[in-house]
Amino acid sequence: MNFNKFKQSIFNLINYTPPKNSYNFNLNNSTSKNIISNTNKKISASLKENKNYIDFKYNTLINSDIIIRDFKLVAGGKLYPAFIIYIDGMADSTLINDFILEPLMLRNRANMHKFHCLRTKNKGKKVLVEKHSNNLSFEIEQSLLPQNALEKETDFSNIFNAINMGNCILFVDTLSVAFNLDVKGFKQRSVDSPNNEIVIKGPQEAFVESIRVNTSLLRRATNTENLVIENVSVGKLSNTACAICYLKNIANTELIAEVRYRLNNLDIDSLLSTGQLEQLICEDTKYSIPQLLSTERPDKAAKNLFGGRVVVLVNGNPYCLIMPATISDFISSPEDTNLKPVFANFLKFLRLLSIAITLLLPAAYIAIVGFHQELLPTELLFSILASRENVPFPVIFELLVMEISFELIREAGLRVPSPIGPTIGIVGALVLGQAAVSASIVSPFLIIIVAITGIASFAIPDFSFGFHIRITRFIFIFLAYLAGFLGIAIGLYIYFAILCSIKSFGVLYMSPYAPNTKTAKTNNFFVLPTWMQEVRHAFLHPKKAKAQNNISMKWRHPNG
Amino acid sequence: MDNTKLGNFEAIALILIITINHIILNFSKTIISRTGSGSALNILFVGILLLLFVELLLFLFKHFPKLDILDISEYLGGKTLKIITGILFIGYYIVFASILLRSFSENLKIIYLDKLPITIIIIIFIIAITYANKLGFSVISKVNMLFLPIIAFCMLFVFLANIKNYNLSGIFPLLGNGAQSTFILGLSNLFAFSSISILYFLPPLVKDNSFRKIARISTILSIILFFLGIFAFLCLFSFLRNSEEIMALYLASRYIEFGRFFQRLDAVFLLIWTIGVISYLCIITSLSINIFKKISNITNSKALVYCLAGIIYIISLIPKNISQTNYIEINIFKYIVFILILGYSLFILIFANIRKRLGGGKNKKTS
Repeated sequence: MNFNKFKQSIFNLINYTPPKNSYNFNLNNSTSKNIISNTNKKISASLKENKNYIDFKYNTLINSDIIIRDFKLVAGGKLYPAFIIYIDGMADSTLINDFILEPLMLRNRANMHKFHCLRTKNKGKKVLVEKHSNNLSFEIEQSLLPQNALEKETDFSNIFNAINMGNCILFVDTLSVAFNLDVKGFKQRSVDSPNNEIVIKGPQEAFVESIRVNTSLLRRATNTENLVIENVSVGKLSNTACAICYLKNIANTELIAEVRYRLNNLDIDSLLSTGQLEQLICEDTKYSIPQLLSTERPDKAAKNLFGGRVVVLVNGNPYCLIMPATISDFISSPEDTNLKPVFANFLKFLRLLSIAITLLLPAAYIAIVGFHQELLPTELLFSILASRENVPFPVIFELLVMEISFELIREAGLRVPSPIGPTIGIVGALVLGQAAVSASIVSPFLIIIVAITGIASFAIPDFSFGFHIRITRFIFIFLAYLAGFLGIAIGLYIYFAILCSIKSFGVLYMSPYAPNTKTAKTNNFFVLPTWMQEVRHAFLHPKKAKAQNNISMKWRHPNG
Repeated sequence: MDNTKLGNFEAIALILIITINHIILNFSKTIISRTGSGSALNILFVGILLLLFVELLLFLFKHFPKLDILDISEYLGGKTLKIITGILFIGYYIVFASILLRSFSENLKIIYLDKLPITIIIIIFIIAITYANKLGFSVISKVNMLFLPIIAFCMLFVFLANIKNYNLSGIFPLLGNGAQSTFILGLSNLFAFSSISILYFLPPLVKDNSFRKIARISTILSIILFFLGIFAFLCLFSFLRNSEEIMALYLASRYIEFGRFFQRLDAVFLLIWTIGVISYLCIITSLSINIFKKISNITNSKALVYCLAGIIYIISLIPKNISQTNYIEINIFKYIVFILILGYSLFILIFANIRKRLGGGKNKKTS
């Protein structure tokens, strides 16, 4: 035996043994049949049938957070089998216990009496009316459920929507209706200060993920009964609640209709963010230019509502979309409204400069170094050439290495946990930059160019627009490398042609500059003093063109 | 044409960009070489004649509101005349856009793109023209409107920044080579204002009642710009020869310096003027496409963009060198301008008016 074992081990040592079959999982087409998602079923009068359907749809045997509570409902002194369904964590269990189960299950004066006590028209005399069994739903609605938000549902589709939103549904035997009870109680972020659109002077509230909280913030900011908030659900599976908000006495009716039309005609399974919605409702999708304004600030949204625009909120997103948007909106900051026009205009000028620098400075550097050296004073030219003397790479390679490194540092700084973020910046900017210069991979002058470009890109107030400019910069770098200022000129012409061709909800992107519309007494690129902002933008064609009287400061001109 | 109407400023910008390009592309040099120091006076005289001509055009167009030269040709001579007029204008626009493109590209090659073959330089322009034209005439006119103030400002800046280098003796003697040269032979300098050919196609594109205003303002501004250009060149350069290859405006920009740091700003101006030339080429191509659409009744003009861009590319490569392009510009261009813009089109308008007065040719468009 031992000899055999020894022989086998020797044999194994010298002989080839194929590898044992290892665990190998490949994802193939699903073998199970597609489950047909039909939720248009009507509620049955049979409690058992309803429960079976819900069990099937919600997979209650597997799903751990779906709670179904069976009980006997007391009404008119009789007992009826019933059950409630809700999602654990989405609904408030205290509300369910105290205001649904307790009044329905425990015997009390309301559910034990067989008669209704009604007042007649004749001098308010009280008469007793016998309760009928076919009035059970009426009795539950009127007497047994002390709830402010209660709806009767007949379709399962509405019921599933309500359950998913955090509501509790009551099914009662013999009734072909279910009671939809608003007992939402999920945890949500409280209204906090904005993270990305920070202002020094001005409101410090930002939208949150809950659409209702966001609509309330808009209500408070606008404070007018003319604010209309229309509900639209988008996504066949997700049924994401969206809200179209506008001021009915200002916003253009055709604009509102167009927003409604586009939102109602989206054939998608799910909608999870405003970014997705923006892509789905924009006119031109082939360019990276943002065509809708996105903000987390209720005050900015309210300002645009008063200007005649439409705001769309998406449930689960702390950002709203504002439409239509023009190029000057992407250069504006919420701070502009809070500052004196001189300061605001100075900042706007700086932002415009920062856009030009981000877009064109690296390309201009390539063009000057490669083609137009005469543009630089001789001393500076010598300095640049001396700094590049030890760099073995062509200037385009050098620039692209640094630009991509900068983008990497920026992306890494965003993704790493916040305590490490500054470290990434320091390591990236100081150590890597210094090391790259010492190793003669890049010239010090180029580091300055890339750093100025990077800083300028941070001054662009809109994140999407900033991103677009950062991407477009690479096209200009390539064009400048190809043909110097000729390449840049071609790029600029085509870029502006694209900007002039884009429309945002029927409004030309370059409005009011191209086409040139009357811009007097309204804010365009430069901010006017508040007393001069007399009219709304003509390109929005608002119902109410004037925003204020010619003389807004009546205290100064009482007769005027 | 696009359904949207052009604004007044957009329409004026269409005409002015052509004038500015003619100044950039050495038309002023051609004028100076013909009339010498009398060019300033000549351009004023020619300008007055041009204003009278424009007034005559406006009078003739008065009876044909919202109709362009093609519609009027159709009214006068039916479809055949309309097609002949269309083809003549397309030929004129395309050939001279190609020649001017070649001329500018040659200048760029001399100035800084010496290592890049001329075919590549031209193809870069062709790509821009093709892309912009795919976006439509309305977009091109809007972009032109945005860039025109910058281009015009840069040109005026070159004139003003050179004031310290001006030598006023350049404009003397005022009559240059003599009265006959300045006023009679110098009449041929009307060709410099060939931009007014756009006026023949403007009426249906602009809003009601603004055509007259646009025509007058754009003509006056064109005359002022040309006068400033001629005056500056006369004062700056002791002599300008046709054989001089580089653009006169570029040479003028090389004189500008502010302190020790800004000593050679010409490259920046070149960037701006390149945009101006692209804008000009895009307008001409777009106008030609629209004329072709009108005479052929085709609906989809996207493919036409590639065809015309290809034709421009081929024609621009025909001249063997810059001397040939200069020759075409100086000797052929001006006669064609006279024949087509000042002669043929005017006769069509006159005869159409006569026919209208006689009450003939009741046409849906003119009734």
